[in-house]
Amino acid sequence: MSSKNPYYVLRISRDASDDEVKRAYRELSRKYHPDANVDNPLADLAEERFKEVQEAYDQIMKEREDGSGQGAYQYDGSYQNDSHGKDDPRMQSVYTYMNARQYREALNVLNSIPGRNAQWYYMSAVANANLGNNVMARDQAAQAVSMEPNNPQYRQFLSQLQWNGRRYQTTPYGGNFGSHNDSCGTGNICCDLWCADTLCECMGGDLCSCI
Amino acid sequence: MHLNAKKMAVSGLMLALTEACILAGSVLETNTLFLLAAASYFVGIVKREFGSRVAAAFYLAGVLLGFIVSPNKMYALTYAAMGLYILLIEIAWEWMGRTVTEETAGKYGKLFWAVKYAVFNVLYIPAVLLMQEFLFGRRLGALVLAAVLLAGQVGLFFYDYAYGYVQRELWGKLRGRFLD
Repeated sequence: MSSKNPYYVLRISRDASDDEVKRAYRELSRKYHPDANVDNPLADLAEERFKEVQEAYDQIMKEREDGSGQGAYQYDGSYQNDSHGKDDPRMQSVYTYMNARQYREALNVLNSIPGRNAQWYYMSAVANANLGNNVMARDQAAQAVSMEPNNPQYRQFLSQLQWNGRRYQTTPYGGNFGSHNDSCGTGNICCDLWCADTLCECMGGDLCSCI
Repeated sequence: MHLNAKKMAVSGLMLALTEACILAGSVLETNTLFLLAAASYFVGIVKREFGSRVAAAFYLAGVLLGFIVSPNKMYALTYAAMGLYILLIEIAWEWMGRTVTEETAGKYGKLFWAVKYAVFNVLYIPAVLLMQEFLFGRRLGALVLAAVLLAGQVGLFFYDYAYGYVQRELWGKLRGRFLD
């Protein structure tokens, strides 16, 4: 995959509709097609640009197709309310990597950016969340919210992380599950009884006739 | 879908354990439901660790292999239903998380219970009503049918309780050894 921002190659904005993407692709393909540049002294350059246009179009279409089934954590790739993102090409490449679901690469680029504002923490949180680093993602999302408390996108993302973190940490049934000791067993007598009964039955016996 | 080696290895191991549980359910007839439940919990574990897409692929592979290796295809069908329930509720939790806020978190928690029972009954009620001869060998009377449906609701409570326990306590302790 080319490292150039595909939207930059096609000279369209990230928010362009599919029709606008296709129109830009057709126009640039017509312009740089080898058949249209036979007598052009810069035919090699035109061919190279033609390939870039093809790759950029394929990449955008693939990202948009994948977008409907993308990972659990989505984000808004716009640059609104953030001058840092608009001028920084590194942040642009972070967005490109995130769109392509290459979160490790996005984190590498983020770690090379010295200034850490709320957007930085938010993007880092999204990347970490999609990599499974949930604790770090929550901390960074909280940091983004504390730096920009009025940003609904950051607050919603933090709520989403906190919601997902509750799934396997609290019991909706109440009570404890026994002590966290190192002895043999699961700490829950019902589970231990079932395991013991199953093992007995494997050996041909029956520990508890009722299970 | 691009999977790294660790995901493939751990998912493969889980799939093997799933099939072992399904087969063991065929052998240990007194423990069939418990073992099929245990097999279905792996779908939830894979979803937790690797995401929805991998979990869906894992589930399909489990069902397919279950039908191939299990001598009793009914058990593979039961596993398919149980695994589908786990997959759907996990995906529902994820979707609910996309719109949850601090203010609505409490309400969403209660809503999730309703979602669980809705998902279960969408699978359970049609199966009981439409496949009576297949499941029970005869058509059931109204009272017995009602009892079967009610027993299913109670059974779901225990099944879900055990699933939560496995995720929190068992897999919560073991996951570091497999994934780090």
